[in-house]
Amino acid sequence: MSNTGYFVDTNVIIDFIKKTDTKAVNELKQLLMQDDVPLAINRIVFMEILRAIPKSEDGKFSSMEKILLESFRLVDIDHDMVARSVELNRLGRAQAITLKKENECGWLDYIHYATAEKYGFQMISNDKDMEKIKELAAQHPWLQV
Amino acid sequence: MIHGYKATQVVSRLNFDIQLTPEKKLYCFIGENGVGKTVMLETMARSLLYMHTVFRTTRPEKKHSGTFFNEKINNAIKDYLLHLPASIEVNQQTIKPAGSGWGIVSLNTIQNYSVPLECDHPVIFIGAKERGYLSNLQSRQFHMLGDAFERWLQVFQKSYNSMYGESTDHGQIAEWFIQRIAINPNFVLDATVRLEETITVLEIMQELEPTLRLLQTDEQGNRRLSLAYHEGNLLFDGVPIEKLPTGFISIIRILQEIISAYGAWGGNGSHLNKIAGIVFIDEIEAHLHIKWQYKILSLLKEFFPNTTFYITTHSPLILSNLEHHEGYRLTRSKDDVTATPIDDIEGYFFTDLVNTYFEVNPITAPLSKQKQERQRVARKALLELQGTIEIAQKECVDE
Repeated sequence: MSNTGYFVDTNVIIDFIKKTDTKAVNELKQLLMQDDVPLAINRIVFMEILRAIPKSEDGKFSSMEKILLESFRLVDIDHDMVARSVELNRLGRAQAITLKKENECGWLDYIHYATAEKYGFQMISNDKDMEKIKELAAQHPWLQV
Repeated sequence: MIHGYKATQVVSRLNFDIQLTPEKKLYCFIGENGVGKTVMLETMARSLLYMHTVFRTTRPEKKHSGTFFNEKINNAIKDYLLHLPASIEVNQQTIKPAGSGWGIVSLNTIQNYSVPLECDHPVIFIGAKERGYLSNLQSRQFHMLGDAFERWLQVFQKSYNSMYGESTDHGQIAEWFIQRIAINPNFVLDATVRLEETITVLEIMQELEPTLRLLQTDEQGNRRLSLAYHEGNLLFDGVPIEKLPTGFISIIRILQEIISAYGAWGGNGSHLNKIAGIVFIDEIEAHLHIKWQYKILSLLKEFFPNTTFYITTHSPLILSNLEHHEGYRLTRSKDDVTATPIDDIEGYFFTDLVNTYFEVNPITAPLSKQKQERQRVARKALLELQGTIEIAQKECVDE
């Protein structure tokens, strides 16, 4: 698959908003300054960011929502992605690979990975678990029809 | 019913090899413009006419055999031509062998060709052309309801013309309703049966759109139709029929054409919808509101449980309501057209259907100039927003 853009994980956007200085945040910052680079998030990332904004920030909330929608391409989670993330998650468990807080919301990383993989997006994440999923995926390539 | 259809050198020199899962009541075909969907439906329907008992001698075991030899019918359509492929195979039976050397037959000569498989079901073809439009009577006098042969002739001619891409309303639909609501039951013996045809159409329409008040039942159980004939025009709930929204007209035409044909092919009043007919509908979604597109197929299947439908569509909403192996994607390689079944369509999300079967993907499509500009402004705003808004740390995964 060719690299058609970037998928940005929740933790990077949250760190970016908090102005935390990380390698991934700097990469995102650079990409935001380039108009023609496709940057994508999925509905879960969109939701995770918005739910992290406290009520005290209601004044900025709606403009944040609009900015996110217009800055990023919002990807729907489709049947292929669900099937692929389930496959990887099950393979991971079979190999005793577990993610941080996997039974809370850590498993969502599988969905994020499958979203990026489907469209050939490069993943931008601060999460070390993504590397584990990437290795799993390399062992079991996705045979897209 | 057709579950295997091979035809060579159809119009535009297309060859079809269409294999369908048997015993389905609905077959829906999708495919890009120019793949041959309409041509396939038209050719299939014309092949069924070529195989039909109507044009062959009367036999008691074949319900519709010999109809063509009624004098009125024969005089009217004996010289009609049927354009056929060079060869036809239906359900693995050779109907017209390769090398037969001819492609056109008049209806009058069909009886000279014996076929191993005959069709003895009503065949109805509903074309897409001008389906959203119809005309009223415009004050011309309507004809009295004809006899059984005249009624059959009228519906046959309509289907035949549609198989050739022609639209022939000219007030026929308005007249059909008026003929049935205006008859006096004291004079006409089968008046109730004919009125039931109208009621059946209105019932389905009301099921499709419950807010319509086309058919109302009072406390005594008497039904009242919201149809009226006024100064030469048919009114639907007070609105002249030709002024109704195009989606509404499109539905009326589909339902009226099925019911009128079933009535004319010998169906009986309130059981019209139980007839085992074969109905072809080209671009079923034409003019239909999204809400109706979503409901139309399940409603047709429910109301016409013994009908086999062959339809084409460009609508993912229509596709989303199909069941396993009711949907087929037509693809063309040079002049050869084949159909691939769509497996387990019930498991697909709407986005999947749009992406996979209509090849529309907003994620990978380039942005318009306006959207690029909005993206540029939004990204600038996001960069400026850094550090100015409070946000909680993501609770689950990171750190």
